[in-house]
Amino acid sequence: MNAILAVDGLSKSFGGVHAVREVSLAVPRGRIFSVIGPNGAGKTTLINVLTGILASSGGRVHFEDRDLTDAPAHVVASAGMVRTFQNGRLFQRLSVLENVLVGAHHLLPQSIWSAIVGAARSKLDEIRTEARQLLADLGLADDADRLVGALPYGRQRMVEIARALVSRPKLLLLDEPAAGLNSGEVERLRGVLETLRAQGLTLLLVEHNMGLVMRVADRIAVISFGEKIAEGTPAEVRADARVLEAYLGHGYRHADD
Amino acid sequence: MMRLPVALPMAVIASCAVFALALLLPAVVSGYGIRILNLALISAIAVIGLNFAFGYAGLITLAQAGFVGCGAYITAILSTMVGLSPWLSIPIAVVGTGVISLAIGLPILRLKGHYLALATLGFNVSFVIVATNWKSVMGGTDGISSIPPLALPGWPIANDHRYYYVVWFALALTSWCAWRIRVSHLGLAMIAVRDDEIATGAASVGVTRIKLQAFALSAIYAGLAGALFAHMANFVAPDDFALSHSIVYLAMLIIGGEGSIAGSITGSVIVTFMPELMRDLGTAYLIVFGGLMLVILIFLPKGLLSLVNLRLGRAGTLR
Amino acid sequence: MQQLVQLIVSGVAVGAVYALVGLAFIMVNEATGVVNFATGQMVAIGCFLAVSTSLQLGLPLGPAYLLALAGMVFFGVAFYAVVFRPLQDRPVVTVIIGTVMIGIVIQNAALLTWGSVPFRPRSPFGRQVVDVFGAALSAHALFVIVVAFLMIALLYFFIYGTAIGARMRAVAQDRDAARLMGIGVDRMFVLTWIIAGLLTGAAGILVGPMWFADVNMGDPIALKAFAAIIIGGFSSVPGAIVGGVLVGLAEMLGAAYISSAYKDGLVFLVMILFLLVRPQGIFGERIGQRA
Repeated sequence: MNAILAVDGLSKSFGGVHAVREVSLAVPRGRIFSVIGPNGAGKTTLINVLTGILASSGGRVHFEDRDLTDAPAHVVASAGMVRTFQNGRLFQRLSVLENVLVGAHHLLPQSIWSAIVGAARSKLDEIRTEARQLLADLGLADDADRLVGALPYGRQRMVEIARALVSRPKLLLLDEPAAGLNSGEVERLRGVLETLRAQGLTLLLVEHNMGLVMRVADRIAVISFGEKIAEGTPAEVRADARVLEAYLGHGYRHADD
Repeated sequence: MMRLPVALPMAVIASCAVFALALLLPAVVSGYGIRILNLALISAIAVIGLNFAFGYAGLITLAQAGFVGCGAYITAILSTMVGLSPWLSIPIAVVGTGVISLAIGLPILRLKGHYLALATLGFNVSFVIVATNWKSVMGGTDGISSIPPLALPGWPIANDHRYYYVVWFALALTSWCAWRIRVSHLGLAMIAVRDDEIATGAASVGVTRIKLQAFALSAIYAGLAGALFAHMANFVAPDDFALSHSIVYLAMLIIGGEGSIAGSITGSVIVTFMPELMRDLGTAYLIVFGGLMLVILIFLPKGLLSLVNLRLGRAGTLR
Repeated sequence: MQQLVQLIVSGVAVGAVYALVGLAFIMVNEATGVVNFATGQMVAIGCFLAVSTSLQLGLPLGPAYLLALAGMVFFGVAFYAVVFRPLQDRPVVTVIIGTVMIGIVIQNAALLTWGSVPFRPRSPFGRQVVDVFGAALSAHALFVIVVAFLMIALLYFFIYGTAIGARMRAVAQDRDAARLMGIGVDRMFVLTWIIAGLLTGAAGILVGPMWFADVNMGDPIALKAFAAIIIGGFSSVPGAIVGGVLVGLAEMLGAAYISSAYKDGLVFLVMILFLLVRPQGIFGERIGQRA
């Protein structure tokens, strides 16, 4: 199979509310796969279930032929499926570089002993160099040693992407990375996403910004009231009557405005 | 702008200088003063340990005195009843305390906030109850006496001035280890856990594991502090490890500056010497002590060391 | 059998005291978000105020108790002003240590004021014994049970049956929303601390004749009250009552039938088990793991 991530009939309900209902997705390797939908459609819930932050109520998740259904968050991340958060969740007491290094935790020996006397140290130095390079690539070279709270919001989002990238993901899940960014920053983000795709990384992009999605996504799935109502190329999705209907109810005239 | 590690070498150099100068103290401090100083440095080891659990990982634990007690009693029992050499019983006490903390931490670290505080409080209270009542092994309220002092071949460490070097070395070594851990991925992960547990998990850190590591480290440091205390005092009794001491350890950490190794040591020394400085107050000293702590908590929430940092215009030393 | 009934009655009496203390703790925590580790010392102050008014001033017990409770009202207000205001909205651990420090201050101020020799306060019923179905029961224990449960009923009515109680609940649920609705939040806080003073004061007055009035009595009582509210449910009024009575019974029956040395250990073992298996307690709703 070409799909790196196969989601089969995944459901999540809170009490009687079905936030996600039997959603199936096949995310192709090396592509940008986007999940869109009106507010409250269950997109973030879907990501939270995929990445082990919420327990599922049904269905399976296979990542690279490995069953990751309801695996703990750090296991999912170590397996190569790494995410960012909608509102940006960084560690306020750490510097930018230190924030990024946390993402490499699973690449390092876990024992206290190795942290004190060596083995982990040289490896951490390697990763530190790598992390600085990543930050430089994302335009954050000068911010590496600042406390993360001192950065403007747009750059904080980039720090989160750097933290995800340093853990050597095979699939990067981005939960509304463009939220709160100005148009220049969105352009910059688009460049980053396209570069990552060119490097062979698979991206799962949950996004509200239709302009961005329509331009970068190779394939789009549309979710409304927790159910997948359409899937296809941007052109196919744009023309889908069910999609228009789902969005019209929320005041959208056309899916790409 | 806030810039962090550039300032670090300065802080490291300053810390090394302070440690080096501290070696000269026995030459100038008199008999009783050196005993208090030893106690302060032993407390500092326990507080640096607590800094892993609370200062970094944000685990509110009121069990530190209980773990100090575990270390003290294990080495006391092994070196008196079993007759082991202290050089052997101290490491066993440290490891044993670590094992006990894992057994306790595994179930209770699921709890958060004041639930965790109350569960660890329950452990500390239970420890004292067991120590008070298990007379055949732990000696009851009388405790265990005649614990042998440490000795090197030809150089018995029988007095407080000599013992100071043992304690100094232990503190220097444990501070260095703590610093290494702080700058490693484990230290980063501990701090991350306190800032945002969910994001930490999503960043590939096993949150349960890192909390357990922080908790076990705090207990291991406590166990060493307890063992050193036992061989200095040559006597242990349940009162030395009561819940109130756990509170004092936390107070030391917060007053010095939580999240900081230098702060841990500063807080320990100040709080240990405070009763001595206020001796003239007699029985009223605890009133002043409590009031002073409250004032520091209210007006200097980041601890006394934050004063120094302000002066140097830095965001944090030894962090 | 007779012994069992006596043990149960004294267990319930002690448990009723724990319930009062637990309620003081819960009231404060729910309304103000402060975990008050000086609750036990407040009990001790209540007890000693009654010692002063009855033994030292020689007042009859009725007026003596009322005067002591009036003193506790002042104490509650003072606690609000000196401790709560500055510690409000600080991190949990700062509040824990801050209230512990205040506890140390109170305890040692009490030591200076009343000395280290314990007092033996009188009961209004002396050493009287009531015969119930052949079991000789301490009149004071029955008095404690009746008074404690009357107070709890009164508190319940106050919180759920009066307009002020409704406002207090509003503040407890959402401070900012309550403020927007024009509720004097600070006045509700003062009231909460006064209630805490009254509850702990009553607990101190009632427990005095059962044990001794000792300046160090606060912590053991507070620890049992913690255990009680964890077993009952951290924010539940019925939970505090049931938890308190269970702890009182466990203490009395455990001491008589299992081991008097380990009776407290038993209580804390049960508390830790509850924290692990059912952190929301018997009556609590799903608040278990909230920070």
